[in-house]
Amino acid sequence: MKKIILYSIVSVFALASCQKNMTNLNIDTKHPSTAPSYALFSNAQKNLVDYITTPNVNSNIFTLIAQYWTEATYTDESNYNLGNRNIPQNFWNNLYVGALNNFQQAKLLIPNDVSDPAVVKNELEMADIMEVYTYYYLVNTFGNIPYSQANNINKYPFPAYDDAKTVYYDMLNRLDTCISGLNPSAGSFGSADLLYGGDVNSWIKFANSLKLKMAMLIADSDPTTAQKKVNEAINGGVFQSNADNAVFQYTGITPNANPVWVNLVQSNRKDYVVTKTILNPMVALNDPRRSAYYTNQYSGGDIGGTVGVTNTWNNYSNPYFNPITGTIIDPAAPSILLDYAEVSFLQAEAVERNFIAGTAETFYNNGVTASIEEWGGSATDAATYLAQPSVAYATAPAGLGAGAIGSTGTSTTTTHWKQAIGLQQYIAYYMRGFDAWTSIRRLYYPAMAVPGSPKSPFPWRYTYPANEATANGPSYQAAKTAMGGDAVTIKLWWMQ
Amino acid sequence: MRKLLSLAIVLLLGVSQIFAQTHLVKGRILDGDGKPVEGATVQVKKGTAATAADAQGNFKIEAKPGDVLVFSAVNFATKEVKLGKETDLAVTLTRQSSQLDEVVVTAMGIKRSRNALPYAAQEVGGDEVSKTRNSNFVDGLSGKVAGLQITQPTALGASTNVVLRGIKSISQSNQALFVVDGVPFDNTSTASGGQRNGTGGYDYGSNAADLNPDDIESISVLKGAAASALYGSRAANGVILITTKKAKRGLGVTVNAGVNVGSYDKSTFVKYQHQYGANYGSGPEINGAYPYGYGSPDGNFLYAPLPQFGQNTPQLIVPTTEDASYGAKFDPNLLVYQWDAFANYPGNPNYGKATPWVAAKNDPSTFFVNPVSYNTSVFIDGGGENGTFKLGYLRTSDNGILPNSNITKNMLNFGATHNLSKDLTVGGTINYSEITGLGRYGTGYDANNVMTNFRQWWEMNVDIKQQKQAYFNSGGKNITWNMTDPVNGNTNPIYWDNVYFVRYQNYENDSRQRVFGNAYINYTPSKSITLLGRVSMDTYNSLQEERDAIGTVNVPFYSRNNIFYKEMNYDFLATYNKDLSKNFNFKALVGANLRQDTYSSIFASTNGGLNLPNFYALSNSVNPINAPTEALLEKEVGGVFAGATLTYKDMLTLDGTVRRDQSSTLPAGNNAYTYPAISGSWAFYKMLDNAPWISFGKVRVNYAEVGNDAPYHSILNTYNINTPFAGNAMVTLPSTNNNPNLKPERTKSFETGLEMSFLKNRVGFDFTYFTSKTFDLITQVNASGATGYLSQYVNFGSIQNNGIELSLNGTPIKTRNFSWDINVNWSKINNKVLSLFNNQQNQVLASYQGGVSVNATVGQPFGTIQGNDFVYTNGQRTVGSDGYYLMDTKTTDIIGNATPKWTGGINNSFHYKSFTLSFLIDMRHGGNVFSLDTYYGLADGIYAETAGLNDLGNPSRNSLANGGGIILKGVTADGKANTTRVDNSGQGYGLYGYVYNPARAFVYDASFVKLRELNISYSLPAKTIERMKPIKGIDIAIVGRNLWIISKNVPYADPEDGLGAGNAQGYQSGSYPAVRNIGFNVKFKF
Repeated sequence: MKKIILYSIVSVFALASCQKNMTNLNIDTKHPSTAPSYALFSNAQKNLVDYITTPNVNSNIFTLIAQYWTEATYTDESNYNLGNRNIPQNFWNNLYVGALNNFQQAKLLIPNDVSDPAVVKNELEMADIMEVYTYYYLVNTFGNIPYSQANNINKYPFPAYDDAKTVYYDMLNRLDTCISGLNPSAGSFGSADLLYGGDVNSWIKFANSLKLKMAMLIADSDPTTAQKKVNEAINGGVFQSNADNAVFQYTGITPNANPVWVNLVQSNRKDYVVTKTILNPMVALNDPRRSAYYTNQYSGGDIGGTVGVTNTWNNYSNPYFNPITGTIIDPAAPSILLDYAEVSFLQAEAVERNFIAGTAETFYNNGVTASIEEWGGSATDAATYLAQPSVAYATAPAGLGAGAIGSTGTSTTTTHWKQAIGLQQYIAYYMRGFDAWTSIRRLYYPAMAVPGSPKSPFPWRYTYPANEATANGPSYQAAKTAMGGDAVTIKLWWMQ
Repeated sequence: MRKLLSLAIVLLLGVSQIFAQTHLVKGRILDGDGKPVEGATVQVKKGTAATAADAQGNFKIEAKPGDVLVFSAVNFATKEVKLGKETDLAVTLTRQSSQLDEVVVTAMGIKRSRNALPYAAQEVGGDEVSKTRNSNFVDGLSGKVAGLQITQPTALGASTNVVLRGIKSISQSNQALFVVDGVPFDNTSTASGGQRNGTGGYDYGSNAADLNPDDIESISVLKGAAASALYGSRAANGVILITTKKAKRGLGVTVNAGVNVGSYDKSTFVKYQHQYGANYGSGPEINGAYPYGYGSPDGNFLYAPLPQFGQNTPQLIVPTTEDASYGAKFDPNLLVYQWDAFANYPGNPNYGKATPWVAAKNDPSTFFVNPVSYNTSVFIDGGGENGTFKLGYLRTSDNGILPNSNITKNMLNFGATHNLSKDLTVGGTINYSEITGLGRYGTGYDANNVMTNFRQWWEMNVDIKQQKQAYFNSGGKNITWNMTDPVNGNTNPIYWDNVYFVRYQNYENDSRQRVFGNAYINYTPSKSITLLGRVSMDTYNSLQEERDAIGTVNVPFYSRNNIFYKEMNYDFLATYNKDLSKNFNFKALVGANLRQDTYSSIFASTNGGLNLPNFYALSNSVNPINAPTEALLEKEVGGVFAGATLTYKDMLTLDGTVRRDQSSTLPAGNNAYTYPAISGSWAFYKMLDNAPWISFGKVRVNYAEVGNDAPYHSILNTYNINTPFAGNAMVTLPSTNNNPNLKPERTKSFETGLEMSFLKNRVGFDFTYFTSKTFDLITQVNASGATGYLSQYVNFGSIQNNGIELSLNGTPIKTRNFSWDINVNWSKINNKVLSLFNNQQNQVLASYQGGVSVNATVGQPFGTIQGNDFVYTNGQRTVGSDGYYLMDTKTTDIIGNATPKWTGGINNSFHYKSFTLSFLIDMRHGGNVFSLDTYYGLADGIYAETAGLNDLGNPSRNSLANGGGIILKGVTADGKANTTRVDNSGQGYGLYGYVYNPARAFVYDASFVKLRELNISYSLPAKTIERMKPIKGIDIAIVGRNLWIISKNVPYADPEDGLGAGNAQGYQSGSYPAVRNIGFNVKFKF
């Protein structure tokens, strides 16, 4: 008996000795430790598009800042309250963590994953173009940002901020390298490229169009470089029609449904109404896109909400139920990253600035037509629209009527072409709040209304994320000093 | 129940065989007052026979003349009687102070006398936590142990925060370790979704609540590292050591039956205004009109014809979408189409009709029910010469103050020992518990938390009883007051569901089946050596199902989370105990422990909605479901330990322990860590023979180090696989960067104490000072998003805790029939974050809605609450030229701290003959809490103060022109008192809430004084009982819990409430009112 007991005790003791490879227990068997580069690329593309498309009030309020919409009842964000919901931080984190870090990781893995060096090269260039495209948002939202030390946590746990202008020129150079590095005779990601299905020629057009856009941003601050880059881009081949557009096609099934549908329709919430800022000019111009942009609640017609005050949802035109096109509320609605309409407007502007030869009016008409067609209208609709003196390039926006545009929130331009192109560009950028905001900050047209109870003047930039002050303190302080503060009223370097 | 009794009878018959002996000695054991000493043990010295006295003090034992019988009982001096020829004895035991000679259970279950205890340990009797019949015994520890902070949320079954001696680790658990009969007992609390961050989800409670309170003999709280170091890394936060009941010889049956009734505490709920109804305000008046209003002439109502009701001219219609009460003043002469005018359900007299504009007769406080809860328990124990057994069964059924909420627990525990021979014992216990929950409360800022409605977003014209009627009369339809667009026929909810629909349709349900037990062999090869081998298991399966029904405001869904947990422990322990000489005693132990943990879970949810109504299965998903989320967490920790204690004359004690752990969660090469502890004590009273008024005195001092390993999977980076996109694989990096160079987290602590009692132990105190420093904290620190990660694992920084603990006890009055005992526990902990990662000054622990975060900040106690503050001039709030407060735009101002300054409890008990009255006052001083409830609710105008009178005696909500408005207290930028009156008529949110005030305005002092427990019990006198055979005792008790919040500074809420257990405390959102419980319990002993 005693022996049994002793053996038992000994065996318990034996059990109590550790496994030799106990550390292996700490390997997560439900998450892979390796992953294919293309899957990171696809997911980063999808994340990026989600973040720039979503109208979620916690992370992307550009449709409110650009005054396409205003909030019905809970008006904080329409009044530029960025802090309550940590909006700068959420936007920043989304782009750096959700998009850039995964593009970066894809770039690290591509040379190991892919055997054909030409394919490797194409894939690396595409990932780099996506990075430049992503940084375009960051650098033009915040100003100075971490760039050269970003997305490298083991080396730079506290990334320093780089000067916004330096970053921007570097992005332009990267884009040049990408464009010249893309090889149409070699393959790339194939279907894992959720924008163009891996078509290299389309990517060349996309990169050139982005280059055109980036060049035009500095048209005021550095016309020489702008002109050079604009010409290079056009010669390299920019979008020629809506067929070239950079379109992200959602599948319509969550989590791959369009975030606009998720936030507006699936959520059942009724948070937004369309503002007077966009509605009034569209009404005045008999814009054929109205039925695509918003729905009227009552037979009473088009009623725009007042920015930043409570607007009883069911008394105003709103972006929710679109009986005609269903575009905005479709779970499978596409999201546009860059389109032919803006490429046309930018070229119209380039003509006006004498950067390129040509007729501004033609580009203007192309832009308006492309936009109308993109939103479900016909060429005839566009022609009718353009035939109106208030829309026709030479006479727009004279026929608009005083007070049709919101009052004096932002300073306005009196230059005719800036007004004409600015308004049509603004209307065409509907649902692309960030681009609209940037266009307003560049052309100062149309004017934004002063919201009901604004927390600040119209934001020229975002304040830095609250987390930066604590998690990346010295770098943040240096950036703040370099920027001359961290207020929303500080203009970015390219702004006049 | 019947089965249980028959099982007991079978066991009893088996046991009674053992009693079949001759030479019986019987007798009765009484105390000095002639009362029986129940449970006193009788042993034959140097023999094996032993028994225990029954409720009348009677005993029977087998013995022969010449044997020495040893009589002992807790709180009594041991007595030895040499047996002559007599067979009937009357033994009187002398009562001793509860302090003296009390045996304290210490680490590894080793019992020590108070004299030889070199560190702080506080005992709580099992009946102290079971007598209030609280189904979670952990709550019963509140106020009873100095240095132990118990924080109980108010929601039914929500998890309790258990922290000993303050927060020591920033992102790792700070919860004390529960050890039951030497075996760790999992106390993880699970929550779903973003529950801890206040974004909704359910709190599934603390798992320690799976223990049968009636089976607890005693609880020993080992506060400091020196006391707990033998338990290894998990004991870094102190140990709550539970000893379950040991069966006594003979047979005892105890039956408890109790019922209690709950009611919500009005002081912890909203006081509403009843003067104004729905709306956010009419907007400013411009030339006699309200262009920003809702259409009616006064701007407060929708104004439209209702041809469906035969009205072709504009009618006044409640703005149903506006979930606030800054609207029109109630006026019974005003006829308004309210939500019920658009709700066509049977028995609705108001359909299609305008009704008087009056305050609802039944405001949300009428939503609460008075729940009746039941508990029943049976405990049987018995034993003979060769073994003992115990069998317990407990059933509790707790109902909440919300409709359709219940938590039912069934616990069955069995334990037995058997003496194989004189030196060999085998034993084991097995506990089975099944917890089922239904309708746990929704939490945080969420449509399924009805308190979000009641405290933040509500229209005072909405009658709860009518909403109830609408729900039930319509056969369970979601007829809400918050209709999207009733004028045009859209009566679907816009933001909020009918609260009855929420409770009856969007409910959760859960269950947990747990088995906890051990088997051991105890071998005593010689008088001084004991060997113990033990295998123990703690395992549970848990299923948590959540749902939102079709018709709800959110996307309908059904989700299930299956959790499996298993912890195995293999222990070996050898102890040696020998008197080296007359004066010296030496004790030593060596041991080894292997612990293996497995946690696995699989979570799946429907995608895109539900197809069939009232059917909840994954197959009911509108879209194909996304891949379930799987987790598999495994861990192994191997430990070896040793300890030695040398005692001189039971007066001087020197104690040393050392343990080495090796954990699989740390990187190889860095995964072993050793911690030593050394302690000493001097029971100096033994040398004070000339001061008889000193009955006891001891000083103690100790030093210890403990370590903590890393969380699961924090070493190597892996990828997340996401839902494929149109057939394409989707993969991302995680948002936390793991660290292959982590090393163990360490705590060094020092403690010293003085314990004394006087005047035959009528008065005594126990004082402890401690200091501890935790460093190399393994923490998931916030990273700049620009690194590509939101956080990373690092070792860094240090936190210091020092503090004092003081327990006082006394017996101010003691007469033959009456006595009064008082016991005070008090502790003050100074907690300070000394440094953080790489000179960072702040680490965010949790960010919340309202622009508020809870943080670790260098130089501050753990748990700073940050948000934006007022702007101050000469210390006074600055008011701008417009008359409104200026607000800092930074959201990083320190506006409070969640850590209390001190906590304490005062327990009084009065005994008069067979009556006992006891009550516990529980206190907390300092610490803050931010309330999202007042942040929004004050802006929405539902609280009484938003509709008060102003300094002119006029209703503040009158327009300025009509003498309304408020002069905010503060100064202008030049330091002069503010004189500008500002509007409070609600021109877009009221004056009091978040729109015109910074987060600082909603931070409150969370101090409280509570009457936590009140018990009145009566034991039927022995004389009466004797006539009631076989009943040996009947105790009747009235028990009360959380009866009265005597003092608090948080308006409308319980300051103790929060978002459950965890390191980030100090935030309330959708807080539930406290619940008073009054119960009646009868205990029968057979």
